[in-house]
Amino acid sequence: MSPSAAPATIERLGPDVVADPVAEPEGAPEPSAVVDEPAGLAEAKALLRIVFGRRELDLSGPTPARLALGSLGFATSFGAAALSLPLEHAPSVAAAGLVAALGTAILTGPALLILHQFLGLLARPIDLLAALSRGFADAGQIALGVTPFLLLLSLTSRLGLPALLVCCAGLGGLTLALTHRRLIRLESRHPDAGLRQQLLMFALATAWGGLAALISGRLALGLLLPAITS
Amino acid sequence: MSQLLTLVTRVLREPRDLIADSDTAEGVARLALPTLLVAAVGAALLGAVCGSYRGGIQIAFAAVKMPALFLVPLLVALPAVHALYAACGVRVTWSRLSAAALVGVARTGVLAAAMSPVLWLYYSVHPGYHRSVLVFALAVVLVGLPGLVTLVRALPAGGALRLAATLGSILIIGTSMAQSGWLLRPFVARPTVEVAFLRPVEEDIVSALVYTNLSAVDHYPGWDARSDGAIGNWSEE
Repeated sequence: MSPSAAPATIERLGPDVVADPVAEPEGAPEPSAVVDEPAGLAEAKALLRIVFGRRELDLSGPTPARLALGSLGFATSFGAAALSLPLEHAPSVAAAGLVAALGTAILTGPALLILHQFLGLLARPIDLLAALSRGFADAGQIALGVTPFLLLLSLTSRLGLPALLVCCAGLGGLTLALTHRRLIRLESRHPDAGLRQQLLMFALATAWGGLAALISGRLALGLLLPAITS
Repeated sequence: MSQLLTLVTRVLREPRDLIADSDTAEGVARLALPTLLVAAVGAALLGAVCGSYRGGIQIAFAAVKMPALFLVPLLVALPAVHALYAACGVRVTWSRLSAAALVGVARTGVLAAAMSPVLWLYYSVHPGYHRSVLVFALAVVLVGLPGLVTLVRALPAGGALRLAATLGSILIIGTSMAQSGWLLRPFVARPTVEVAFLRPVEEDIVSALVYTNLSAVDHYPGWDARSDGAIGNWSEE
């Protein structure tokens, strides 16, 4: 794109799309599109695109500051919910968020990378790592955002812990779904990626998402259960 | 005065244009005072009508507290709204979010003023206490929804899984508003109980709604309200 064409493009697409360095404008050809591929294959790809989406997801990794802010978010939100609990349960609840998030990343990240290479998929491992870090940072920032809400509830009612559980399920589900999409898109944007790679990546990302949900749930419940049952 | 009327007209007829015009730090600063004033006056009017169920000093108490019921949830929930949309790839600036929140709360305030005569008419036929509380809650939901829609629609387009962010935001704002309403009670004071500006911090909105619903159909299971939350625990100690 020539420099003179840039302002017109920004006006046409809107700043939200242009600000995303990897967002593709509507109707733009996909990087992996092959013009003379069979019609069935093209339709299957189009279906995949509609179902899983490829647009408007920032695929860049988080900055160290965002990672730190995300970690802070886990600590503050769980800490806020712990305020209304008896002293013996408060420390374990306050630590549960960060432990669960970090533990999930440490336990599931290498498995994802190993299986990705084992299956001969094409996206760069460093990009997958960036997507996982992005998921962690996003989840932490949502947790930071819900801290005032949890603080209100735990200061004034016994809804702090139930609200924390609902928030965890919500933000965990949302960020896992977003990371799932990012992983699929990372694979599909590779110039040599065909339908096989996309389907394999979909299966791998889905399996990873399920594993991450189970492990994070297990880690969090291990620390939260004494407070829930008391 | 005419500027305020113009603002009210724009808040009702073209909220998105008003937000777009105020999408800078200066714009938000310019918009803040008049929109908060409109929201406070409208909310106070609805509060005064609620207080009129009991009458006397309760009219003033409810009128003073009602603006807080509209504003506190926004302060509590806006960081969560920002974070949810940011995670979904919607790049919303704080100035736009603040402008949207201000216009949304002003819209709610104006609609609250419009709802006041309807509520007054209902209270004038002396309904039961529990029904009055439920109708008041319904009125707040009805006037709050357009403000919430204004806030959500003012956010930039795009993003992935945007629906999840929207639903999450609505849930958080709604819960914050419900709990704030519970903390700031009574608005519709029970005729037989001594009037108080605020009740002690006890129980929560969920248990209160369950009990009120049962009481509204003449089923009284008994409710032993106890202090709860960190503030309740600290005050007990």
